[in-house]
Amino acid sequence: MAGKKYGIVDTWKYRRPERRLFLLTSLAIAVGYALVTVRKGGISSFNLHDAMPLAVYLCGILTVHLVLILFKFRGDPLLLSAVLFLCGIGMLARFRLGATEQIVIRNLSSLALPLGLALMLLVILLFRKGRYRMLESLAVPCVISAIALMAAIILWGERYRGALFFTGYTNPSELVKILLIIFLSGFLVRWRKELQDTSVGLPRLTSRAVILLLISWGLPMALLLFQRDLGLIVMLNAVLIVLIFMATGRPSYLVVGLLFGVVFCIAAYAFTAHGQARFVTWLNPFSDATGKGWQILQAQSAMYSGGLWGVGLGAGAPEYIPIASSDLVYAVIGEEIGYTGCGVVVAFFVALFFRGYRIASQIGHPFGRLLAAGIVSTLTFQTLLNIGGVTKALPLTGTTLPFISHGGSSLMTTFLSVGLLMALSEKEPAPDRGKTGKAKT
Amino acid sequence: MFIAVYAYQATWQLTGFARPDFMAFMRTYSRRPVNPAKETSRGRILDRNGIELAASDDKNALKRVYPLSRAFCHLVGYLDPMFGLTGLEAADNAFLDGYSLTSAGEVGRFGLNILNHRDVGGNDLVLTVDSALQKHAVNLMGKRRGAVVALQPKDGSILVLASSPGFNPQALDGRLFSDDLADSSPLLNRAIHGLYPPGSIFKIVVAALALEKGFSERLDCPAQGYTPAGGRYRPIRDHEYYALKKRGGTWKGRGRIGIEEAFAFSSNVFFAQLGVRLGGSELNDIAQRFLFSMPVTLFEGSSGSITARQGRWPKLDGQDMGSVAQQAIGQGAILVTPLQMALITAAIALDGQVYAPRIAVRTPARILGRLTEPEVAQKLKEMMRKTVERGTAVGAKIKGLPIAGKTGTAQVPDGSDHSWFVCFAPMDTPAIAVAVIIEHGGYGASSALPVAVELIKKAKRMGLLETQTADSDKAM
Repeated sequence: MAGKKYGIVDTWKYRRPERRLFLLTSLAIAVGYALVTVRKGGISSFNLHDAMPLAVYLCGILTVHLVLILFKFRGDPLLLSAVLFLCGIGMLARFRLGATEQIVIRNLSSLALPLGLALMLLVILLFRKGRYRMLESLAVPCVISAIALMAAIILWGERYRGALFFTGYTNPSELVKILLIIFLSGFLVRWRKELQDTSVGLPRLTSRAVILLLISWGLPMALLLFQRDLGLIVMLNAVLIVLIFMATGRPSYLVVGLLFGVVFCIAAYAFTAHGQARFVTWLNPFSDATGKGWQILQAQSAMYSGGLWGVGLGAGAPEYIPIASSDLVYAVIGEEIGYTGCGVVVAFFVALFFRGYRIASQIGHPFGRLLAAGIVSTLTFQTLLNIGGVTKALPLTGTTLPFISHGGSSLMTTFLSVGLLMALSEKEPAPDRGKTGKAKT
Repeated sequence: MFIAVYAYQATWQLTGFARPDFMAFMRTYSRRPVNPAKETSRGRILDRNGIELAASDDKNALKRVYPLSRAFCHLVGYLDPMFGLTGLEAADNAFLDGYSLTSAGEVGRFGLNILNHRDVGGNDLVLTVDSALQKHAVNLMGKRRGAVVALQPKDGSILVLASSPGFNPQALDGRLFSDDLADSSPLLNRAIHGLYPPGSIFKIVVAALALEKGFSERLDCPAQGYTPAGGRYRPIRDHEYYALKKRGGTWKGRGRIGIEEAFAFSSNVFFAQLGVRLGGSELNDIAQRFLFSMPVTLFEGSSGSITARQGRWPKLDGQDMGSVAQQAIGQGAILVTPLQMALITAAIALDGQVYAPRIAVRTPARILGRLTEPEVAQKLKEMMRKTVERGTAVGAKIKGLPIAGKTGTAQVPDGSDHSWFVCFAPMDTPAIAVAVIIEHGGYGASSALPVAVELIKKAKRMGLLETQTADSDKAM
């Protein structure tokens, strides 16, 4: 095998588990789709138009699989099946909520899935075979463009539900996430030695690395604070703590980070009316049941009526939950496929993240490892914040549920990061791993 | 962390029916076609004979029906989507809804409910009260404000806990909660939350102390009354002084009398002097023993409890003889609830021992404490009987039904006096203890006494007194 050229047939064989899982996923989603269609109005009112989302979804899966084989992609064969299952659930939810009932072309968000898949493929092909390393040199431009983007939103954005958006409700701060993760990975690789230099377990505040980090990270955080995007701040700082710990191997960063987190939460509660209101609503939604507590309580009511098995796909009443289609989509899932269905969804998420961390741990290149871990951590924290928020385990922070929430820019960014992760998962640069190892040593 | 979140999700999604606030929210605001909250059939509240005091509507499980309307509006309370829940409906919410998990059957239903999310099936709450007697009490009070408490001394079972005015728990109205009604306060359960000056019925407590101390002197009770601490205060006079003065006559005073006569005729002059002689600190002690120092709980439910308000006894310092004299005749700043006075009366009837009041049959009878010695209680019983035979309470003298009681006329700053009557019957085998207050009803004998007497007559007709006698006969 060693030294032999790696052909399309080999890739076909290599990606066999992916194919099988894709098949199962497609089947599950198609059945769900049929159920929703029947509930929606029966076969009689069914027209070809309604079949579009499913067709797009199935074609998408097929295309992804075939393109990966065609380009002899040897990256992880399991990750994408979890991703596409979750996307399928998201597609079902969106179809169920009627977002695709308008004319397809006009509704940009219904194109999000095919566009996202295309973007993901593009990213995979662009950065595979170790080409992601060029991102390392782009760390500084990344943070600068992130800051510029946020400044632009603040200057020209519109407030909607407390957060800032561009016209058409595209939310560029989703993109900021990935830019900052790239920057952070690059920065930490460059300054790892200096950050490892701690005194009594604490990082030196006077070291150049710490000062640089405080400035280059503090500025975007301040802008996010101005945007009142508490969810994103929490998410990104959790990632920061994880990545610094990974890069330096110093547990003291975890402790210091956690302490800062607690201080931040207290400050957010004490000094911002916005944060305080969320906190109070979280602890006692019944104090203002028909006002601030309405959203979370309606979500809980929906899930309660779902019970263990759910009321059935398409049989729920998501119209009573405010913003059910994006932030609170998990409640719709809970209502329609019940606690059990939620368990399946959570299990897929957890499997996805485990797989993601495994991929990260197997990457030899430090930048790649940090970038992969950063991407997976972002998705993990985002999922945790969203599901925790909807189930009232955590305060609602207005984060979307990756892959499932309705929201074009969020889905695009998620696909972008999954694409990167997939690209990172490919062993590089020679096809035979044993040989590569030897060549290096 | 995901496991923790997922587990927490279960506490709402699967066992959310154990969250009363959440259930109430869904009953009111969840317009979903599938709303399990609306399908849980809540248990009924029944009286001792199984008569429904609260039940769920057959057609609409959301709606609660109160067949006896205002008679039980305070005790049973209400469950209303708009106005929340009160009274026993609130205190035993979990039990009524069937998720208190106190029995194997309930645990089984609980599990089934998690599986299929359908009817939990609530439990019935059975009370010790007698709805016919309670209705009678409410009718007797009529439009007058006041409260009636009747209980069985032998085990503390409450037969009547009525408060007037009331409201219709099935037709709640926002105006009920407005400040305009602050004066009549129809939502207030006067029987356990109303605080009143006891007036002369407090003489029972002071007499108990005197008897314990072996006091047997005769005291002079002149017409000009008694002025504690040498003239710094207005003299305390007997009520006859004022009554006769009103009619243009003059009161000649009682002369030298003993405690029995003073008790029977409710002589303020005697008891004010007696109080001063006994002293402030002794009075403090006995007040503490006679239930002033603790809040009494009538019901410990699955979601809360029903507790009476604590009476108020301002500590006497032994120097301020004016206050000592005032509090010894049940005036001044001392306040009691009708329930407290009913319990004290029950204690006298039961040789000084008192059972904790209980409202639910499932609450076991429990001795609350001993207020005084059996000999003292026996003497007090006789004094209360004499009060009916030839004292202020002759109105309660009925052939074949020996009642023992004490009237009270409590002066209040606003308007005419509150009318009190506490009593028990029958004299030798007490089966019922009653406390009645009619706000601004004048003399105890004129308003409260007839209510108590009619109530006891009714109880006798219903056989509530006979069974007790038969039981004790058997015991003998």
